[in-house]
Amino acid sequence: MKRIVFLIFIILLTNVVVAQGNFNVIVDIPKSYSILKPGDEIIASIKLINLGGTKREDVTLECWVSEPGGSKILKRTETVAVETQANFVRGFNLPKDIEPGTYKFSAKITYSNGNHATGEHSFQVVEKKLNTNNYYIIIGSVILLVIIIIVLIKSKPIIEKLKIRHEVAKIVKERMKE
Amino acid sequence: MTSLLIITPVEKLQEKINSVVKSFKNTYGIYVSLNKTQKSTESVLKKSGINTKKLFFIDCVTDKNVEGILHIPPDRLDLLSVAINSFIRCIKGDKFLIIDSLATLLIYNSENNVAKFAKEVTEYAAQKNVKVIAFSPKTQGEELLNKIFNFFDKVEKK
Repeated sequence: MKRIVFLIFIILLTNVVVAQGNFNVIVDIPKSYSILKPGDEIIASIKLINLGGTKREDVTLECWVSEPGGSKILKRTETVAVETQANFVRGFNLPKDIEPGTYKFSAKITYSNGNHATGEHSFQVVEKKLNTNNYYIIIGSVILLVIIIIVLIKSKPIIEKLKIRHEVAKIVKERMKE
Repeated sequence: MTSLLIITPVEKLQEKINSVVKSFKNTYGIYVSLNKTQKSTESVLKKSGINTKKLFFIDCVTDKNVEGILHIPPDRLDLLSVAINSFIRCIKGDKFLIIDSLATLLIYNSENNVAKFAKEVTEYAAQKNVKVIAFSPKTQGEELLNKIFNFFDKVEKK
C-alpha cells in the first residue's frame, strides 16, 4: 500500500512539473473564413493556454499560412505576453494568385526556455468565380456597345442623305429669294 | 419624251450642252457637273450667253465648300441620286436636269451601279415630269453605256 501511495505521489509531482510553463495552442478559424477566394483575408483566433502558469511571461508567437505542399507562403512573428491564457486574432491577406486547395493556418509559441507548442487549422481556397450580376452587366454592356456601333454604322448613310436633303432645301430656298 | 441621252464627239460636247441649256429659257435647271468644276462650267455657260442664275449645280469634281453649291463625290451615286431627287422636289415649276457627262460615272462606279442610278433618276424625273438630258462623249466608254441606253426615252448619237 505504501508503495502505491508513493507511486501516485511521484506521478502527481511529475505532472505539475510538466504543466508548469507548458503552453497549449489552439487555432480556430471561424466558419465564415473557412472557404476563401484568392485575395481574401484569412482570420484565425489563437488561444494560448499556459498550463500551470502563474506569472506573466513573454513568449514568441509565430503565425503562418502553409500551402498544400507544406511550405510557408505567409509568415509573421511577434512577442506577446501571456499569463494563464490569452486570445489573439491574427490574419493575413491571401495572395491574389494563390492556387485553389487546402491550406493551413498555424501558430507556434516559443517561450524563453526554448519549449514550444504548435496549433493549426486548415481552410479551403477555392477558385474565384465571376459574380453572376457582374457577368450579366458585362455581357449586357458588350451587347449594348455592339448594337450602338451597328446603329452608328447603319445610320451613317441615312444621316448623310438627310444632310444632303437639308442642304438642297437651303440652296433652293436662298436662290428663290434672289 | 422626258429623258434623252446625247452621245456626241468630245469636241462638240460643250457646244451641244450650251444649245440644250439655252433651249430651256427661263426654266430652272439642275446641272450635274462630272467633267468640270462648277466654276469652270458656269464660266463656259456664261460666255455663251446663258443666264446661270436659274441653274443649280451639283459639283462632283471638287470637294471645296462653296456657298450655294452642292459637292458630291462621283463615287457616291446614292447621295447623287438623293441630291437630284431633292432638287426636283424643292424646285417649283418646270425644270430640267443635265448630266455632264454620264460616262464619267463609269470611271468611279461599276456599270451595274451606273445603270441602277440612271434608272432611278430617269424614273423619278418621269414621275415629276422633269426633262433629263444626259451627255456622253463618243469616245469615252461608249460601249459601257449599252446597259444604260434602255433607261432613256431617246438616245441621240451625233
